[in-house]
Amino acid sequence: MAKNPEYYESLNIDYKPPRGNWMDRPVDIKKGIYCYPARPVVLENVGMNDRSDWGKYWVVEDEDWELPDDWKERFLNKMRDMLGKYRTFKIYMDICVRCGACADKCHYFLGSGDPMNMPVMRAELLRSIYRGEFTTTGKILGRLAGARKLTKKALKQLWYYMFQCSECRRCSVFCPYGIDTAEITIMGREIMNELGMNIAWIQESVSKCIHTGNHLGLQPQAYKECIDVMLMDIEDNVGITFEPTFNRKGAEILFVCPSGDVFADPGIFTLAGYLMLFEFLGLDYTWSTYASEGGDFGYFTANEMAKRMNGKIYAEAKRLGVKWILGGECGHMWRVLNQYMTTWHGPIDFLEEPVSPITGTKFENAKAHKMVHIMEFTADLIKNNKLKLDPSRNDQLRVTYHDSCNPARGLGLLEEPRYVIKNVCNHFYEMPENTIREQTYCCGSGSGLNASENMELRLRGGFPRQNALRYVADKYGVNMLACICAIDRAALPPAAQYWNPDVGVCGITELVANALIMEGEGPRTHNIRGFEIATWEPEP
Amino acid sequence: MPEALKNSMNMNLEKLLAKKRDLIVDKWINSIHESYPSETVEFFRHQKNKFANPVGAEISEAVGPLFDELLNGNNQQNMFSLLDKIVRIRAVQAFPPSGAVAVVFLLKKIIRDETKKDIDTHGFFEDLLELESRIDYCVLLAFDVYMKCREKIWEIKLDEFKKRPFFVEGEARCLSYMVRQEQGQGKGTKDCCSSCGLGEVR
Repeated sequence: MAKNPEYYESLNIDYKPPRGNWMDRPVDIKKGIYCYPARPVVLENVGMNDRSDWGKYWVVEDEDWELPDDWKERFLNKMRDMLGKYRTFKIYMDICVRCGACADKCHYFLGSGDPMNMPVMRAELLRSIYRGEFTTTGKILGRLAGARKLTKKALKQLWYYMFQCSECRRCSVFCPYGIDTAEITIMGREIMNELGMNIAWIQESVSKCIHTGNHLGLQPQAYKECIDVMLMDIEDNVGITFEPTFNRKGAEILFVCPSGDVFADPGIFTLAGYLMLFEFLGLDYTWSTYASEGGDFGYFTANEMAKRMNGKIYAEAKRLGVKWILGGECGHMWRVLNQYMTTWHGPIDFLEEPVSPITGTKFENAKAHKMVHIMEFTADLIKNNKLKLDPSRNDQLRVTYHDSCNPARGLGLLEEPRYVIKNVCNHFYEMPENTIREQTYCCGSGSGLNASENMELRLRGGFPRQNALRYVADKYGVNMLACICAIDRAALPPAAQYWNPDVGVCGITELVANALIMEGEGPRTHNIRGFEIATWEPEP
Repeated sequence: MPEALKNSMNMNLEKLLAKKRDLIVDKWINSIHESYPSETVEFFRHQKNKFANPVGAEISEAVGPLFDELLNGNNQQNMFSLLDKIVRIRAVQAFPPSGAVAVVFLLKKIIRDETKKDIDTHGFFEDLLELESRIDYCVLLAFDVYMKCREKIWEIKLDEFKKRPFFVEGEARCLSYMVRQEQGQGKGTKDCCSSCGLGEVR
C-alpha cells in the first residue's frame, strides 16, 4: 500500500469557536434567538419612550439601530438614576466576586453552551459598563478591573442577552451573596427602555392590558364569551349548567387569573376547573372584566409600568367592595403580588384578612396583600375534607409536577400543589431532586420571552426541564406534566412537542375538576377536554 | 510462534479499533465538546450529574454506543436514535447546519490519527475505506435527523402562529376605535385614543 501522508491531513474540520477575552468577541446576533422589537406606537400609547422623536422601527439584524445622537447620555442618566434609587442594584453591581456558583445554573446556558448565558457573564455585561462609567477604579484601570465603556457594541450585546434571561431566579438560589440576577436583568431592561428598546411580545401585551384590561386584548364581551364557551363544554362533559357572575358588587371574593387561561389551550381547561370548583363550593365570588389579568408584563419593562398594571386589581377590589382576592394559577403574577404589590399600593386597609368561607381557615401569610393562591385555597379544602373527589378519573394519567419558577422561588409554594395532585390523582412521580422545588428549571420562555420568532432560544432553554421530564417519562411512563403558570401552559407544550412528544401539559385545577364529584352531574365518561376518560392518551 | 506476531497476523482494523475503543470514544467526546466555547468545554467535562449538565450527558451517553454501532451493528434505526440525541440539541444551538452534523466527521480524523501506523504497517486501507463509507452514511443519517428537527421547529412555530388570538387582533381589539368609527370619526388619528395603533404599518 502506497503511503500518502496528505491523506491524513485532508480532513481538518474545525468548528471551534473563537477563544480570547469576551470583550473582544463579536456580537453574533442570530435568528431564532432574539424577539422582534416593539413598534414605536405601542410604546407611545402607554406613555413610554417611543423613539418617535428620533427614530423609526428598528431592525435587530441591521448594523444601524437608529439610535438617537444622545443615546449614551440617556442610557447613563437612567442608569445613574436607578443606581441612586435602588440600593439592591448598586449592591449587586458592586459585590459579585465572580465565584462562579451561578455560572452553570441557568437553563439558557445549559441548553445553549453559550458562556455569555452564564448568569455571572450576563450580569457582567452591565457590571462592566458600571465599572467603566461610574467607578474610579474602573475608569483608571479599564479592562484590568473588568471595566469597559458604553459603546454601541456593548449596547447590542446587552440587549441581546438581557432578552435571553427569563428572570426565573434559579441562579440566585446558589449565589452565596444572595445576588438576584433576575433583578439585574430587570434593571438592564428598564434602562434600555429609555432608548425605546423593548420587544414586541412584551410591549404589545402591555399596551393591550393598559387599554383593555388584559394581555390578550380581550374586551369585556369577548372575555365573558370565552368563559361562556367553557360553560358549554362543562355542560357537555359534566352535565351541569350554572352561571358565574361578572363585575358583581358586594361579592365576598374577587377572582383574578391570567388571561392565558381564558383563551389559550390548554389553560382554558384550568379555567373550566376554576368554574367547577367554585360552583361546587357555592362560593360567593365574581369575575372581573377589568381586573381580567393576573399577569403583569409591565414587570418586564419598567417598575412604574408594572405598578400601573398591577394597580387595577386593587382598584377593582375596592370598586366592587369585596373582602379579599383569590388568585388563579399564574407564575410571575405571584412574585409581583407577594413581593411588590403591598410596597406599591399598600397598606391595603379596604380589604379584610382572607378567611376561607368554607373551612374558616385564616390565610395569615396573605395578611398584607390580601390575595390567596388557589393552591393554598384548594389544599385547605382537601385537608378539611370539603371536596368530594374520585381520583380514579385521572387514572389514565401518570403525572409529574413542574414547579413553576415564580410560585416556587417567589412565593415559596412547594408543598400545596403536590398535596393537591396526590389527592386528585393516583399516579404521581417526582422529577429528579435537582430539577424541582426551589431548584426548578424554567420552562424556557418566562419573562415575556414566549414569542414564536425566538423558538430556538425557547427550545434550548427548555431542554434542562425537558431532559428531567424525559427521565420520568422513560422510567415511570409519565404522560402528563402539571404546572401552575399560564406561561408554562403556553410554553411547555411546544417544548414537549420537540423533546418529549408523548407528554401532555395541564394545570392542577384541571386535574381537580376531573376528580371532583359535582352535585347533579351526568355520567362522567369524558374528561373536561372532551376526551373519553378510559382511552385518552395526552399529547402536547 | 511469538504472541505478538500471532496477534498481528489475526489483526484487522475492526479488532484494532475495538481495542482502542475507550480511547477513541473519549477523543470523540472531547472533540465534540471543543466545538463549544472554552468556558463551556470545562463545564461539560467536569459536571457528571446528567440533570445538571444535560447537554454534556447526552453527548457522553450517545457517543460510545454510536461508535459501537458503526463498528459492529450498523443498524440504521439504532444509529438514527443515537444521532438524534446529539443532533436534536445542536439543531437549536448556534451551529450552522454543517456544524450540527459535523460531529460524525470528527470521528474520521480521530480514527485516522489513531490507526495511522497500523494502517501503513498492516495494510488496513481497504478496511478503513469501508469504515469511512459507513461513517459517511452515518453523516447522511445525521442530516436526516437535523432536517427532521428543523422541520419540527417550523411546525411548532406555525402551530403557535395559528393558535394566536387573531380575532382580538386588528380592528376588533380596540373598543374606543370601534366606537369612534361608528361615530364616523378618524382611523388611528389622535382623535381616537391611539391605543391600538391602527393605521400604523405593522
